[in-house]
Amino acid sequence: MSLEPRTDPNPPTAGPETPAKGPAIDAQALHQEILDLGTQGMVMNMGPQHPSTHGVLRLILTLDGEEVMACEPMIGYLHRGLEKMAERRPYRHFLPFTDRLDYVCSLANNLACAQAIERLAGVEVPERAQWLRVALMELNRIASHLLFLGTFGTDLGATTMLLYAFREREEALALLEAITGARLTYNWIRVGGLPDDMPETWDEGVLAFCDLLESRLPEYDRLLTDNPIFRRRTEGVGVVSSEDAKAYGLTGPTLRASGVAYDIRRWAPYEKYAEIDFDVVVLRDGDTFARYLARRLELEQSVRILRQVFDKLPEGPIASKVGKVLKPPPGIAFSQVESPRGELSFTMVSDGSPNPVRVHIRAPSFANLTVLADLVVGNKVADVVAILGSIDIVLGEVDR
Amino acid sequence: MMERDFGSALRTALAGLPEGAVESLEVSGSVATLRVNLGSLRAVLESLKSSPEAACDFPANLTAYDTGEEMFLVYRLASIERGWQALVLCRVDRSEPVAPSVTDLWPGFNWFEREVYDMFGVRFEGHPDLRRILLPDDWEGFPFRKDYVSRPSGSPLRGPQPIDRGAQG
Amino acid sequence: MIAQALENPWIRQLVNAAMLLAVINLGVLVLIYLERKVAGYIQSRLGPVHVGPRGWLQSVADAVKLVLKEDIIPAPADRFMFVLAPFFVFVPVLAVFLVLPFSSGWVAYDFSLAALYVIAAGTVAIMGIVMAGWGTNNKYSLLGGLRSAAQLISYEVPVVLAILAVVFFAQSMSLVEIAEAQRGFRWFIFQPPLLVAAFVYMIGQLAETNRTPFDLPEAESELVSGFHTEYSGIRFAMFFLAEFANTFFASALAVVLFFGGWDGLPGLTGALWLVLKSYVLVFVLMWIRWTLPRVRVDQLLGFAWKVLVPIGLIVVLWAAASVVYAGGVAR
Repeated sequence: MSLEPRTDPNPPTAGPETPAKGPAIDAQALHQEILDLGTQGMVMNMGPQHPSTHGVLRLILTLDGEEVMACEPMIGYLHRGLEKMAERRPYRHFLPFTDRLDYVCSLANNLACAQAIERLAGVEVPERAQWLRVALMELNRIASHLLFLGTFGTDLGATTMLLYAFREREEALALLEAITGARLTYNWIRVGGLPDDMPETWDEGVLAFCDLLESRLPEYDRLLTDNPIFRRRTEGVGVVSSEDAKAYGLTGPTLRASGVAYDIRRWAPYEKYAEIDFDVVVLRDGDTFARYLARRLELEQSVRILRQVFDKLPEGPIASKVGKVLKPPPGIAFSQVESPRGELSFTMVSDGSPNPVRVHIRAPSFANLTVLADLVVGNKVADVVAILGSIDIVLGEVDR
Repeated sequence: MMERDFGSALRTALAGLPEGAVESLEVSGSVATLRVNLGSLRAVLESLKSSPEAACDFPANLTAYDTGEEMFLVYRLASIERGWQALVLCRVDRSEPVAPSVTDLWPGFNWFEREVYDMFGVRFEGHPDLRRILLPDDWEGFPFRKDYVSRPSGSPLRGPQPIDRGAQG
Repeated sequence: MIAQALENPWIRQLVNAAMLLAVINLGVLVLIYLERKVAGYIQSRLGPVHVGPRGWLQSVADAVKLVLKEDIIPAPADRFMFVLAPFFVFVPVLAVFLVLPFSSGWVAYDFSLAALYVIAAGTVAIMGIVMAGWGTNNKYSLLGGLRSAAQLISYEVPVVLAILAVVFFAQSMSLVEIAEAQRGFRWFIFQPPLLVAAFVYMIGQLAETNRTPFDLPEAESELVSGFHTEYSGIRFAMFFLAEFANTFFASALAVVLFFGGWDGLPGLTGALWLVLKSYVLVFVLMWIRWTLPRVRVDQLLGFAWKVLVPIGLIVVLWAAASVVYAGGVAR
């Protein structure tokens, strides 16, 4: 039995010189056209409360039977005005707020914010702190990807994957709790380093966890990756060509699954990533399965990185001294961090006062979500769920 | 090394533009900061994207900031192949903020432009669907401007309005 | 006095029916508990443990809860359809149990056309599902109801073909005679064409009972709850019980058709063997449910019509040829 390969709604344009086309479907105009014609396209609302939209996202789908004719995502349900709040308080006081952006991977947000302040103010971070930051980031990446595996399986009907992934995620969260005291919103990065050193046997715990995770990965593969039903649901679905992926500003595994080797850890190394040996996972197909597989393979790379960190961890201070009041010189600076979802970047503008003039958060989920509207047209409702799941968004950072 | 190559690549890319288009250009490491004037903004961005030397074709970020006296647009374009990025700053008129849209060059900036409109009130000409994205459609005012008065009581929200689209269920 | 009352054939039938209902519902309660425990253990957790010893009373607690719930009928719903739909789903499931033989002599009604009756009665449930989807006046339910109708109609055909192959071998449509023909461990599953027929039958029944990988009508992550989204309380309980009763019936029917019915080693009564074998099959169905993801609607229908139906037709021809030329299994 063969399934016709899903036709690519965005066929690759000829050569890099051709300008990328704008959004293919204007949802409102299309909807108006449907109503004018008198043919009934059924308008169905998915969300904001829905088991599969990974948060409060609203999708207004115009359906022709099971097929999607237009999709309009509506966001803003979780908008809390965080960027404005940052303008009213000193730079470092904003760090706890950053936990709540991409709440699945809080440390990445913390790091991006701290890095931006450090670049703006010219603060150096000691070696030991840099290595530990890498360890924390990778542990958080593993936790985030495990959550992705679980929820993606659930979206497609394999609920058991959720339980298995969370079993391992529980170990990771226990480790993070041992060092930071929290399970989800860690707030464990400070400007200039970390608040405190790691507990005595923490490195042994992390290495034991690495072994555990590696032993469980074949189980995940038997359950999902090698499952024919799973493959048929995800292969060829929602294909994004590499030109379109770049034109839409996609980042992270979503982009790397389309063949573009852009990983901030390699492209603009921060902390100690330049001294660590790891592979950037890049896949060619650009379909939902590739996006899933990219994250699944990144788990192995993260384990590889974690093992190297503790070999090379030097002794030393855990943070550099920063004065009580932090008044960076006027200017503009930005940080770039590879969060599990993509390029997370904080842009800060300073005018010499203790409070920032502007803090902008470039959230990877926000940029990645723009491709959804054009990607689901022509696919079935079930595919909408699969594609949305594979883009892996967190509404906290989409809405801020 | 990178600085020199990048600097010369940028100068080649921007060579065809009129005098005064680019007010300043600094390169530090792999990041170049350009200040351009509003009239040439679109030309600069197009040159950066299409020139084979600069090849800054990846839309990394688009935002704006307001100091109270001046309002700036901030574009960040990256070149994945070359490994450098350009930060383009452009001042817009605070009282009547207008800018050209670049959604035809990069569809990825569609939502970014909507967000800048939503928060600062900058109208992007040529944008296919310029409306609020994060705030409710009937919100009054542009919150990230320094002259925005936030109302602690009595929000501009008028409560849930039925959306007339035939949507149901 | 009771003995005298039982002389009356009508009263006897009524008592039979009541006992059957009791057995079915008890079986369903056990099945619900089993499902949750099996799901728990497959997912590396415990399942119900609090209510009663080892959680045995969980199903009872659930049933009581559902009965006590408020009966909500959505305002825009079509009341007539909404109220009638659960009955159309629940009653046929009970009706097919009438002809299921638990042992020789232990059958509510030994019908000579039992196989045909089972198929026909089971099809009525499809109407109930569509009525539920339509009557709720909710787009999610509508999608679920329509998906379900397409699925159930499509998968009836392979199931019927598989049963037809068995009927060829047994030379009778009566379930009692089909089971009798397999006495002495001459189970139909050992016949090559019927081995294939058994697979076709089981896959078809997975779809007929709306179980993963074919649980599109209830696809939780897509349609919230499909056609029974808006049902609560007793009405929902009827859908729920119908699904589990159907699952048990599908397995029991498979045992009668392919695994010898009540045939087993001496020492245990036949009925117990049938129940035991049914529960093994039910366990396999649960195992499949908690392991596999869901197929998509077009893949589902494609699989039915492009794979199962051709295989079913080949099996029917093969079975017919076996009976005519190779002797088959005569009565």
